[in-house]
Amino acid sequence: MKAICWQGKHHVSVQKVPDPYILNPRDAIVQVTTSGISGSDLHLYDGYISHMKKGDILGHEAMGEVIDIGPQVQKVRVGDRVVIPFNIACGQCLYCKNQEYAFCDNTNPNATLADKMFGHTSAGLFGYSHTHGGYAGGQAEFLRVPLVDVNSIVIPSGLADEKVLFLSDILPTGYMAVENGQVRPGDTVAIWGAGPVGQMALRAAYLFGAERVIVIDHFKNRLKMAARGGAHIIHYEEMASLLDELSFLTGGRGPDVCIDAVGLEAHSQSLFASIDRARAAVGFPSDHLEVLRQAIQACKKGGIVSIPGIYSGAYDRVPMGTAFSKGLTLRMGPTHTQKYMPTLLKKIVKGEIDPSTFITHRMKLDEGVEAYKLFSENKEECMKVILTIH
Amino acid sequence: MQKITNSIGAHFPPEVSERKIAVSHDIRESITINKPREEVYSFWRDFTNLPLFMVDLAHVEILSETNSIWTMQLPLEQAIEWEVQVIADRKNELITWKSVENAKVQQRGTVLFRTAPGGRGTIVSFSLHDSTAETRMAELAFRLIGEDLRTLLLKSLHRLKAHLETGELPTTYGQSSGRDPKENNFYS
Repeated sequence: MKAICWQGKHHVSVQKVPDPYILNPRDAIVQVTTSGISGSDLHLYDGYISHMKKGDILGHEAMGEVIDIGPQVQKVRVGDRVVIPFNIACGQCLYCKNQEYAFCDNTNPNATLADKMFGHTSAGLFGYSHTHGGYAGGQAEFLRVPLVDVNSIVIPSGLADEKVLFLSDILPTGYMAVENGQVRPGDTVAIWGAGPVGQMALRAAYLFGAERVIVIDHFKNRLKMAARGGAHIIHYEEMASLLDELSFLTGGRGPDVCIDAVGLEAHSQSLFASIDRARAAVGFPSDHLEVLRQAIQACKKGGIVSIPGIYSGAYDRVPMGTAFSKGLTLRMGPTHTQKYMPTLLKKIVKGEIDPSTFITHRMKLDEGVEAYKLFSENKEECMKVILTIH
Repeated sequence: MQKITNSIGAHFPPEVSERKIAVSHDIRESITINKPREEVYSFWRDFTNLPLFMVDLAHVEILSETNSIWTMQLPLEQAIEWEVQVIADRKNELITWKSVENAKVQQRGTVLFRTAPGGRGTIVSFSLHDSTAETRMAELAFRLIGEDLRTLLLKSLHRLKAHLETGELPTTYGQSSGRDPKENNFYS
């Protein structure tokens, strides 16, 4: 089969690889019809994530038709049309039973490596580094899905792939970010980052009853899309001080909930950011923590900073003093995708959300190299790329 | 014998100060399993189950209520066998085993089973006391998986948990990748 494989920093290849087959009794093989490229794939492309090997198959936003199931699969059947969540959960450990699927204990074959890096292992992920299991990903013609009864959702007929593909990652991520923020009716929510997660969080915030949502970014087209979703948009390069503007907009209080939907590739104009760039230029790993600092600085007293992420590594110069004085809550973490998929599918079926509006580019698997390049270099034009495969 | 003092003036007894670095060490790792204590104990007490999760074991043959022969298979090498005897067995609480005298691999292991607070499963604590002069077990562990004995223990516990909770071990062995030398045609 054909697949997109990681080959190094800013280097992916489209190549012929062996077809996958059933390895464990609860596996299934899915013929992938559509696959997405995620902002977090760009972290792999940009070389930020450790423990990648040349030849790793990328992709964690996949959907398609089940063509083969292992002998102990009970719910999913051959022929089912499914969306696959980006994390792999077992459904049996205490975390899974608590619906904290991203923390699953049992799906990382490299659990001891993750134990050493993070203290405790988390769930295996598709197409995302050997720390998280090194599972082959879904930017390919076929995908092996472990424990498929837990790690799939069946899609009713009548819904195009585009409408449901994002149940795999960004829809639940944006939604969980808002849920983590405990957004209540009447709240003001500030979202840093107008990428797909930020766009979804914006719409989810209104679903949760927010009165006003502010979206901050520096890509004009992304801000326009946020404005279409009802946000008050801020282009942070067009003002002297973002923090002053947020204070003005919230009557000096600060937003009730601040969502950092940018994560580790933040860049900005501040003094700290300039230090980051200087450090990067001389080979020191730079912090990219500017968005989190701003969120902590801006958030109201007693407010919540919700971080869908992604962050990786260890950082210094986090304003803990500010966070402490204001009694902030920082809630963060990888998305418990399986928990939210059923609820969000219902909302899509009812027409309450249409995530296909975020798609800017529809390309083919063969165009994988161009797709990554485009997404990485042209965020002004490119919001979300999907690859149609079968 | 010289008394060794540390920086705050405490004296260490000579036995401790005289101890050579690599002669013996106790290594212990713990994991919590979402199954009742009786089930986990019974599974472990049947030593024929050990190869299902202990990374170093290929096979266990039961000789009697207390004795068994354990076999380790190193890649490309002969199998290593040693006889083990259970020296303490408290039902649902503790099992201790020890290599018999003159066995090729000298090892003493203990596993404790406790109910986790809040009834949230069973805590399994696995410790290994490895007391040959060359720490043979650790050396074998390194040759087997390229990691230290502590990692080997923890890996075994992870596999026990996955087996008891899900019925299978997570694996990517045999999965597809772009590294297969037979099929490396690059399209772009």
